[in-house]
Amino acid sequence: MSVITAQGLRKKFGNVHALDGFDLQVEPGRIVGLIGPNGSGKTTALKSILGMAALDAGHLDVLSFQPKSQRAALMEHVAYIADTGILPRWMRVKDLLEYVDAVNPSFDIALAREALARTDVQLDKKIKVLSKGMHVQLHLAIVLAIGAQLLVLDEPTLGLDILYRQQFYDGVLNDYFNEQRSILITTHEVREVEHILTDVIFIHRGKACLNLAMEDLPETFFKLTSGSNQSLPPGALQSRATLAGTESIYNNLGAAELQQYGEVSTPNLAELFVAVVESQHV
Amino acid sequence: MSKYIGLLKREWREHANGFLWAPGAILAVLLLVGLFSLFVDPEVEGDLSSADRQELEQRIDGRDASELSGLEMLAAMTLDAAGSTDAELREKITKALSSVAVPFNLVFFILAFSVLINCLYDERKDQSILFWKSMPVSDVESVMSKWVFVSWVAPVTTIAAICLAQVFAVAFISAFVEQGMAGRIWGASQIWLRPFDLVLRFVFLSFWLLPVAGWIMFVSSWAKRLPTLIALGAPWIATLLERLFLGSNYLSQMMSNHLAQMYNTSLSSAVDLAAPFSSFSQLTFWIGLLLGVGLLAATIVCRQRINDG
Repeated sequence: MSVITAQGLRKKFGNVHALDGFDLQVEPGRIVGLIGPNGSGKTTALKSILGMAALDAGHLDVLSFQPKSQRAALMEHVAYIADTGILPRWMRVKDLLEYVDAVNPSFDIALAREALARTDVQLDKKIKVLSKGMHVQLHLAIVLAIGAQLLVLDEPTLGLDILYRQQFYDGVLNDYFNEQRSILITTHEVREVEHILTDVIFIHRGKACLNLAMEDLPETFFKLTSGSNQSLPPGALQSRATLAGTESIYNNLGAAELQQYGEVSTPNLAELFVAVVESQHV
Repeated sequence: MSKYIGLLKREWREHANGFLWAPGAILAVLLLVGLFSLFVDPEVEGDLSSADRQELEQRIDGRDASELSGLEMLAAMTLDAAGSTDAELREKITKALSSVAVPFNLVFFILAFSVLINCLYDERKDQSILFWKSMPVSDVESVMSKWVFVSWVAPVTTIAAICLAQVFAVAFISAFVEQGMAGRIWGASQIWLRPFDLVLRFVFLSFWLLPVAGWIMFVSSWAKRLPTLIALGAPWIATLLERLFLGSNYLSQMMSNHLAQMYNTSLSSAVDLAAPFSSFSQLTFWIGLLLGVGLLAATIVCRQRINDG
């Protein structure tokens, strides 16, 4: 059973199509990166998956729930960490744990306390005095103790220093993720998550313009680095001049064919994203 | 059940400061004033005219007025327990006890307004609504828990403080009335029935004020800024427009009918446990309930749609 099935999602704000026929499929045991520029519809997509925003059209099913009408029931199985510190600032850490324990039957308070004991977050502190890093550690501890089947991360490490960023992803991978659970993550810091993703979806102008399993990337897309005087085969998604020559991204030719024009490698996600999005403008 | 207790506890934690400390502080001030008056006995004798003095000495069986302390003189002059019938004494004591309740009620209503107007506004402003919505709690449960808290949980501390202050007031009065009258004072005060009376009045008040609370929460759920101004200003402008264009004043009449219940709760007459039930026979009570339920439903819809735009 798929964790998320989204087909043809549409949402309009005034004249702007935030989602314009967006499709998404997330299976158990996958870590899916939703990558897109600002205003591409990422946040609208996430909010509709979480039942926090209504759609104009399309079919959306999350763990067999209709998110908008069954949000409360769905949230027993889904956890969410947003880009801004959204934990209630007036609350004490221990009171927040007690609250989650009361309202969420999936929550294991002992597990959350255990996770927090490994951090600098003190239980009797108010959330407003925690640093941004500790705020995220606390939210992560709650999410780990909910043991949700789906974890939605919306720019979770924005504003964090490198140490906390590393700790955050280590925590997510080692303490949360397993083959029954899935993660849907959006971030600007593509390089930061590239190595943990199993799938990537590029979203641009409300549409999924690429949906790719990371394991297929080396056989699907190629980066050709050639000298500046070298003629190039046609069909590049994008070519750009560098100091050493030209870098082009291809998906219509194989590595063997490209090798006669220069050095062939696998593009990273940032390069691929720029190439795919720019190719849509042509 | 633990979920609903959890939701009410959450509300209590957010607002405990106000609802605990405000009645506590008023109680402390009243106690201090009481204690202070014991040590600084008021100088009443010098202000007495000879006629007053004569009347006073009659009331104390012909003894010399200068034998009394200032507080005793005040008790004898204002209460005149010995010369009053039971009904008269009850009325006088009730007035005294009602005035003790006024500051508690006043502060409670201000606090309740402030909690209701901010409850759905603040969570949007600081974005914590995203966290609350990431929990398995529906918008119906969230909105209703806030109303139940303000209506039925938050008044508990105010009711307790009023009862304590009234016990203290009766003890104080009975210490200074004419000899042998203390028992009558305690009897006339109906002090042991007052907690039940107050609880009943507050419960009925919560239904009388449902349209008011519903309106305040409704504004709190969508106002982009200045929710207090909108919540207070819009009904005022609506009554003005009604008077101007329709020449009628149904709206202001209805509002004053409902808001007057706050005054009735504070300045209660003698204990009458049956009195609040007479609300059921008033059409305006039922219209208000209907309107209140409609406004709460609109509040819930607004909270559901808050991330749509």
